[in-house]
Amino acid sequence: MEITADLVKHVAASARLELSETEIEQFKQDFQEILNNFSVLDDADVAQVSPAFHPVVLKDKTRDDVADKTLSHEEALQNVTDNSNGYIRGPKIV
Amino acid sequence: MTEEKDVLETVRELNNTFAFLSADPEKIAPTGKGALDGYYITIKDCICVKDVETTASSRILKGYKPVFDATVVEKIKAAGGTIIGKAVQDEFGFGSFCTNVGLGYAVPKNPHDLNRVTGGSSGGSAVATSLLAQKGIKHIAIAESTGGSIENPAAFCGVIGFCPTYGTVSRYGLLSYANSLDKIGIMATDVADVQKALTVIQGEDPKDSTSKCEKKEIKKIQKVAIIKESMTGDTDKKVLDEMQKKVALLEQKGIIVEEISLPFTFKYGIPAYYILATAEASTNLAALSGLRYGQQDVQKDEHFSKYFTRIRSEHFGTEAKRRIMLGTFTRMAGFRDAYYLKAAKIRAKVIEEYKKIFETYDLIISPTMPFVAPTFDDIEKLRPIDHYLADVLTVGPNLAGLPHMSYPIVSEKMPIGMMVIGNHYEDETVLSFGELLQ
Repeated sequence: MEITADLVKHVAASARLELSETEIEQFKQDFQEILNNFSVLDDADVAQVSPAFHPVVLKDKTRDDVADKTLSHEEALQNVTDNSNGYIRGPKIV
Repeated sequence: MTEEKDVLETVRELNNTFAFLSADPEKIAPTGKGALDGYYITIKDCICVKDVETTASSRILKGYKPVFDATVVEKIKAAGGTIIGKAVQDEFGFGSFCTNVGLGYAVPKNPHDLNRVTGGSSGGSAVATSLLAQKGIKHIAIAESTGGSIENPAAFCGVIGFCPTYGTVSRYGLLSYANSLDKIGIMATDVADVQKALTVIQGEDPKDSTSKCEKKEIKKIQKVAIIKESMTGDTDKKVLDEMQKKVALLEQKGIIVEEISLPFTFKYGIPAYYILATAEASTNLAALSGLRYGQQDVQKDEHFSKYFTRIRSEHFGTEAKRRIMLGTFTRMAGFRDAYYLKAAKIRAKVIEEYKKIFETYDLIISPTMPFVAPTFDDIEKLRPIDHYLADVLTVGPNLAGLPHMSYPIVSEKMPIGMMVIGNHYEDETVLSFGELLQ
């Protein structure tokens, strides 16, 4: 498939990245080369294969539904540089 | 001056030349006594150490000091290990040569030639392992591999790199690159030290639902398979020659070595690996937005989407942006089945291909890397796809979650490693092969 500057911008916006014009051109070329190489996957006949989302078989493990030790309020805020009265001050949401 | 001050001073001096740490060395005292008494430990920068800056060598996490230890770190401290620093890496593990360190970090240099790369992404860990052994310091590195990040730098720097079966070591406290591929492992210059560290760090962990430990008995090694696709003209002649010498040595010791082929893995392994790894990375790194840790700006007058976009765009390096975008693309509506789902199906077939070989053979061997450590000038000329293709020999066992080890078969200038791959949970058998190679 052809990678266009618009597609690169769309993917960047979805990933919350803003790119310069130079970066857009560079990534356009990089993605074209990468996806051309990955097009070998078209040859793989795996229609009847079940996907492996992990390399080994895992069973769900649950713990008892009881309260456990967790981070204190102070610990949770220890790396926040912009906190106000015990809350994280965030940017505008509306 | 105490011995420990001497060690820290030595590490600091070496780091000034080889740039293998992400910050100044510092001593973190053990909390107990045990198998690692007297050992100095470096921790790859993507693994959390309480109150020590942990950034995965990315500027977006600059200043982040975890309020807890990763499970492996907790176990190392309890077993008497003294942590002396965080090893630099490709940003979040996004690289094969450790030249993709984050903005503001120094690129580490190969201990055998300052003009050559260390390999990646655990480049700092491999350099520390090589240099500290040369100084007679008892050292073990705790590193991490997603697609070859332990074995590749171990081969380029002439040390042992061991990556356990997926899930054997808890990932709790690891800054994830790709959850279904990440494995915490070990580097050292002696198999006995790897064994010692593995005994300490392995085991199921209630904090990691993917941790699972099913140790199997050590096999007597009789038949070994050598991968045909790794012994072709695509591999440097010197690497081929050294491999053949070791094969001859194994045969002298009574081991049967036969050529086998992994055609499916070699044809589809790299694209499948990069699709799965970047898809998972793009979701993991979505959490980094400049609010709760790492880079933050008190200026928050803009809309949240603009704020998150600004912080991420300013502080992620180029390769991190490239992989986040590649992963975002392969998960997008309309492309998910063609890329992500297909890659997961290919992983199932890759596992099947290896399992078939293990029905007849005890272990599989190949060169770890098809060439010796390239120079920085060589790397400058490569396109991103060339970097990805360099992982041709390491993505297979990583996709399949198999235990594997890079063992130095040439340790002097420039080192060459042999990769030894075992069946799931046969980690001890892989390690036992080290004795046969001596």
